[in-house]
Amino acid sequence: MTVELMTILQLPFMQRALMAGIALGLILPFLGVFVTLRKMSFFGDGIAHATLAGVAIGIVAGVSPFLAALGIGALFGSGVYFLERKTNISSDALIGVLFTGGLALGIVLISRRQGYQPELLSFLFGSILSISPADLGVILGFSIFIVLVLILLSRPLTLLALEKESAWLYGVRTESLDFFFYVLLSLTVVLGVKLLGIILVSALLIIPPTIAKMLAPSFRSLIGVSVIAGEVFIVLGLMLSYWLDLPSGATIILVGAVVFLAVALGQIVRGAPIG
Amino acid sequence: MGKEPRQARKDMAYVPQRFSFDKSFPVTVLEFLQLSHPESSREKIVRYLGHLDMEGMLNRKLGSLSGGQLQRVLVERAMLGDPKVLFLDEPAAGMDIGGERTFYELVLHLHREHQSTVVMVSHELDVVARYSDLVLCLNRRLLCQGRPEVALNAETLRALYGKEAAMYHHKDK
Repeated sequence: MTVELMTILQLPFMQRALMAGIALGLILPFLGVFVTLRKMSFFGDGIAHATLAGVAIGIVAGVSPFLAALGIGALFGSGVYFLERKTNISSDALIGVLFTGGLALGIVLISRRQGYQPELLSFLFGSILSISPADLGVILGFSIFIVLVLILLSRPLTLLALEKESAWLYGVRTESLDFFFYVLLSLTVVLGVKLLGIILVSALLIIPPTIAKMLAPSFRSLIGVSVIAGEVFIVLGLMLSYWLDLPSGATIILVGAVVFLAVALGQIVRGAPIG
Repeated sequence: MGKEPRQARKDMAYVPQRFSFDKSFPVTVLEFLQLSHPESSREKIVRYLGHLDMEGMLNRKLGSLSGGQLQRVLVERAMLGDPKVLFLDEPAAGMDIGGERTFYELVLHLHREHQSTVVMVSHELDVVARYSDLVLCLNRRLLCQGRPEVALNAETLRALYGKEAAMYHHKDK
């Protein structure tokens, strides 16, 4: 077992997947705490879907699909922010329209290329093999930036998630912070797409904080439990996916879903609140 | 204060009628107060909670407090910044009569101890008559102003609440 583990860890693609996974296991569940408290889970899902438009534009234009997806993700996030404020269309309807539109554009553009299906599948469901050294650099660089920002801004972000009006009274620049949060969330979700896939990435934003919310006695522990849960799902999921030859993204999320069910059942047995 | 609202935030504090937040948000009373006033020491927070008879609540989750307890925490949050002016918008809404009485006694105590000006919106005439120094009666326009015993007369009440409204004094008053 130990020898087998050492062999896995010596594989370059596995090393990259693990390093990227550990970075993502930190930022997605950390940011996910604010996302679930603000009931913005659908936003994360939507951004991930729209990412395909960026990927396709990257492929067609001959630039890095990953970087193009980051740009398009930030653009879609900003678009939702402004349209929410300039129109009377409800937030979920806006996200539904913009992001399915982005996904559709991505599929149409990619379908123009010969033999597009493997590439499409790899983005839709994520792939352990798909993280190049350059992708790893982008994921690590952005992750360090995002973690530092989250640590620095955790006070105003928490006040904003708790109650917007009183956050302003306590010195938070609510509108600009809100905009920044939308862009940060968009970038974080896109960073996770390569490993976890467009369809599954938002689960790592939602499952760890939802589990943590059932267990945490305080806000500080909510973030701690959420990040620990995210890291455990990633590492365990990656190992299982290698050993059992299963898709990495789906295995990671499945581990999370099983733990979620176990914790929820435990809460029911103890008579404690769920959620 | 003659300042822009953004600049005047530090001199003012506000206790809303309702503080709508997700009750499942796992934030403790101590964390909530520290988040609002990162400059306040733990000792100061505990001392102020003591004034409100809430010492035991430090590590309770905010969402598990009763309506009256939550209002006290909101008052403490407001007072921690040692504001010059404290605004209260029907702060006792949803409390029972006993809790309401204790709450206003507490506000009066804080006003005397901290020398803060308290501006309170209330529809409850007994509260206004008992606790305020100066009353402004508003119903789209300014209908009366002055000390409560002068301002709250039969004529004002009719203007505020319609013809059927009248004043009845308790025998012991």
